[in-house]
Parts: sequence; C-alpha cells; structure tokens
Amino acid sequence: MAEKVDVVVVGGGPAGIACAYTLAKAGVETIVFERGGYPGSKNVMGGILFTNALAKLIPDFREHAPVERPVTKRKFLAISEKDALGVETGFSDFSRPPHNNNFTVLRARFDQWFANQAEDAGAMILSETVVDDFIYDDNKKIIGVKTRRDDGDILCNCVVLADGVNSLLAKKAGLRSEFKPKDFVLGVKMVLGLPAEKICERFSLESKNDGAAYEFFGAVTNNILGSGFIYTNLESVSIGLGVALDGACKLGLRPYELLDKFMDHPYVRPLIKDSEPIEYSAHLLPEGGYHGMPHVFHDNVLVCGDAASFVNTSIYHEGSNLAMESGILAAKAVMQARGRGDFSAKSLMKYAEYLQESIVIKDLKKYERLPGFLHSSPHLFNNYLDLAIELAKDYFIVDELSKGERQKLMFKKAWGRVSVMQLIGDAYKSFRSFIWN
Amino acid sequence: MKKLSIEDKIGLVKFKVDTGKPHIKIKPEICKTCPEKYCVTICPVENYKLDEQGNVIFAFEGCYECGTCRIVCTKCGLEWDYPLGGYGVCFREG
Repeated sequence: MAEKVDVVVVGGGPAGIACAYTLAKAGVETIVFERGGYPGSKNVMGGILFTNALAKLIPDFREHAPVERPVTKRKFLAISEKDALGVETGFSDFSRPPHNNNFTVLRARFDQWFANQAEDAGAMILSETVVDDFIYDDNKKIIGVKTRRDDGDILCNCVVLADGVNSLLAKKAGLRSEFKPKDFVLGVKMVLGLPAEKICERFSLESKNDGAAYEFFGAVTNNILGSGFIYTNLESVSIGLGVALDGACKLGLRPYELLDKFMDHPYVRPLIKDSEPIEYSAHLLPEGGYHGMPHVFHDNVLVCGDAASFVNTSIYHEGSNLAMESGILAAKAVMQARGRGDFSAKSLMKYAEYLQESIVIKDLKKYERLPGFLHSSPHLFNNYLDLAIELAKDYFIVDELSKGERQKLMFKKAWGRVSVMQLIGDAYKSFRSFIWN
Repeated sequence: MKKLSIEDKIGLVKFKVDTGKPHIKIKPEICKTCPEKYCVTICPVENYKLDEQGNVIFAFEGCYECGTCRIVCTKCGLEWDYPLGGYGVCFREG
C-alpha cells in the first residue's frame, strides 16, 4: 500500500517552495519532490528576484537570504553592431530598503535557502526525485503521483504542479496543449567573477549595497525578439540574453555565439574585462503571456509558476514574484478545499479566482496583446532601434555641416527608412500593447 | 576577456552522468527526413551535430535539460524525458 500525504508539490523552485512553505506553516502535511540533487540545481534566471511576494512570507528575508545586491540603478540600451543608446535611472529611494523589491540572486543558492525555510516550517523536501506521472482512480481522478524511485507511488489529496517551464505533467494531466516555439524564449547566460570594488567602479555603484541592472535590445539578439542583460552580483556579474525560439530557429542563430558577440560588443567589453568565467547556463522562459497560459486547475490538481506560464513578458519581465504569489494562492485554495473536504475542480476553482484578483492575472491580462504584436512585427527592432541609434549619433556629430543641414539630412534618412503610415500603425499597436489595453 | 569555446563553457559546469542511459533518444530515420534540423543550431550546448553525410548525431552527456530541442522538433524525432533524479546537470550558480 502506497504512503499517503495531504499535498504533493512537484518542483522545488520559487512557486513550489512558496506553496509548501505556506501549507506547512498552516500545519498541512506537504511533500515537495525536486528532481535535482538539491533545490536550485536545475534552476536558472537572469536574474532579478522581485521580492514583494517573498516579503509576505519572510519579512526579514534580507537579513538571512543569499540575495546578492539590491537593484538601485537600471539602464535600458538599444545597441547596434558597434554603438549604443540608452536611458538610465537612479532613483535614490530605491537605494533604501525595501529597495523597490528588486534584488539580484543566483538561483542555485537562493532556492536552496528558500527550500530550507520551508523545511524548517515543517514541509518535507525530497530531492533527487523525478515525478513521472499521476496515479488515477477508476473515475480518472488524480489520487497521487508516480515517482521514479523504488516503491515510489505516493497518494495524496491534491497535487500542486510547480515543475517549471517544461511541465510535462501539466500536459499529462490534459491541462495544456503541445508546447509551441512561439511561446518560449531561450536564455543563455555566463556568470563572470569580478572583485566587488571593480564592480562598483565599472557600474558607478557606491557600495556592495548598490547594484545595477542593464537591459539591451537590438543587435544583442540579431534584431529578433528578445533582449540581453547584465546584472551585478556581490562578486560576479551575470551576463546573458534571451531569444525567441521561433525567430532564432528560422535564422539559424546559435545562442552561445550571440552571447560571445554580445560580450565582445564595444559597450559591454570594458564592463567585463579581466573577469573570470565561473558558469555557463541556459534555460527556457515561458513567454506566451496571458494567451499562452494552460488551464491552472482541475480535479485534485493545480498549476503555478513557470509551469502555468506566469511571466510578465513586457519590459518588466517579472516572473519570480508571480511564481511565489501563485504558489501562495495555490496553498490558500488548497487549505480552503481541505476545510471543505472537497478537492474537486469546482472547489479548487477558488485558485483561479484568487489569481484573477492578484497581480498575477491582472498584469498578464494588461499585456495580453504584447506577445502577438511582437511576433507579428519582426520589423520593429530592425526598423526603429538601429535608426534611433543612427539618428542620435548624427545629432551629436560635430563637423563642418551646420546643425540645420545636419538635421535636414536626419529627417531625410528617417523618412527613407520608415513610412508615415507604418509609424502611425506601429505607434498605435505599441500603445495598445504596452500602455492602454 | 578571452573567448571560450562551447566545450570550455560546458566544462565550467558539474554533471552527474547516468552512463549508458540517455534521457533523450533521437530517431535517426525520422531526423533524416527533417529539412529544418533546428536542434542542431539552437541547442545551447551543441549536443546535436551533423555528421559528414548530414545525419543528426546526438550526445546526451553535457545536456542542460532545457527542453528546447523537444519544443523546436518539427517531426517528433525525439523521445525526451528528464534524467533520473539527482543526475544530469547541476548548476552551482544558476
């Protein structure tokens, strides 16, 4: 006879651990299955951890968690083959706690710590365990999971799927359709060691309590959908990029070659000079947005985090907080269902209601047009980013040409590359996608 | 910074290989008929290569388990699963 627990959580990332932590705190018997050697060993992000949801669970996390630096300075840059044009933020409020809830982290370390907190709260974390399938009763209702271990069947009242971007289990449960390249971005990243003082110097940071996040658009992805980044950790920088799978495949782009090229860009090169390569990693990101979401609940099962495609695909690129928030809300719904002794879809529908009222669905809904717009407008980066950089460069040229003559040439160049109708069309669609849905 | 080859990059990462038990298997007869072969260029660790005859060859050691090949495969030419618990790639930074 298989063992039985109240709740099985599949996956020891931010979503699964937030869920297990919340359940364990409320005294619900919970077991987390993690396929890696330890929670975090399979997990990668850029990465900025948005800590608004974490702070609800562990308000003093800053004192204990292995977060690297708060993000106190941001830059957004368009880059062409050799040039760059950017805007920078330096809001002094963000230099003070809670630092706008933005911290750089290295996930292998952070996730381990977070899982330890859930364990201390009473959850059981079982690493090195792959969950292969569900156990069903005669009515095709999920009553447990099959793990790839001897005597690995575990019965439970409810399964929470937090098994990440490649949620094969969500598919097996019939909650999602086949994965399509257009709904995914591939991220590749290097962690490069640099002394803390050098990081402060190169990124104009006052101390190790300040950190920078630079985002790059344009040539970094060969002008296809995606972006690059440099984030400062305590004694390393994370540098990487994400490219849309469909676009990268069609053009035959090799992701690590793009990364090599990015690291050799004249703007980037001095920032990472003489650094020590520590790790090269890669991971998929769910970028289908609101319309890429699977069904997130059914009889005896809920889906949260990346498995549910909870990533805000706009410029905010929030995912870690939506993962944790959805884990917390899943736990709340499970506890209610437990109180009723009813884990049917009708009872677990509460999860979907909680999500609708939370930033998870509100933010995904706000940007619901964005993935479609970006995929249907591959010319955006090509047309506008390069042109903007060229025009800015022209604007600042000092030579024998008068400013009036120079600016006339600039207008001529601009209208030679973009038609008025196209500009109006793109501006309208951008407005609808980014600002007013 | 000196440019690292893809082998050097992967060499920075720890793996526990389940020797002789690949978690991904390709079906060469199907791959032969695939005009796109997206896996060959998109795999972030270059685990898919073309031999001299243009056939796809695959090595599972060094796989990051990212799942990209499974999603971009247009011909269902591969069987994809996670490695046994505790095996495969082990990121120390992440």
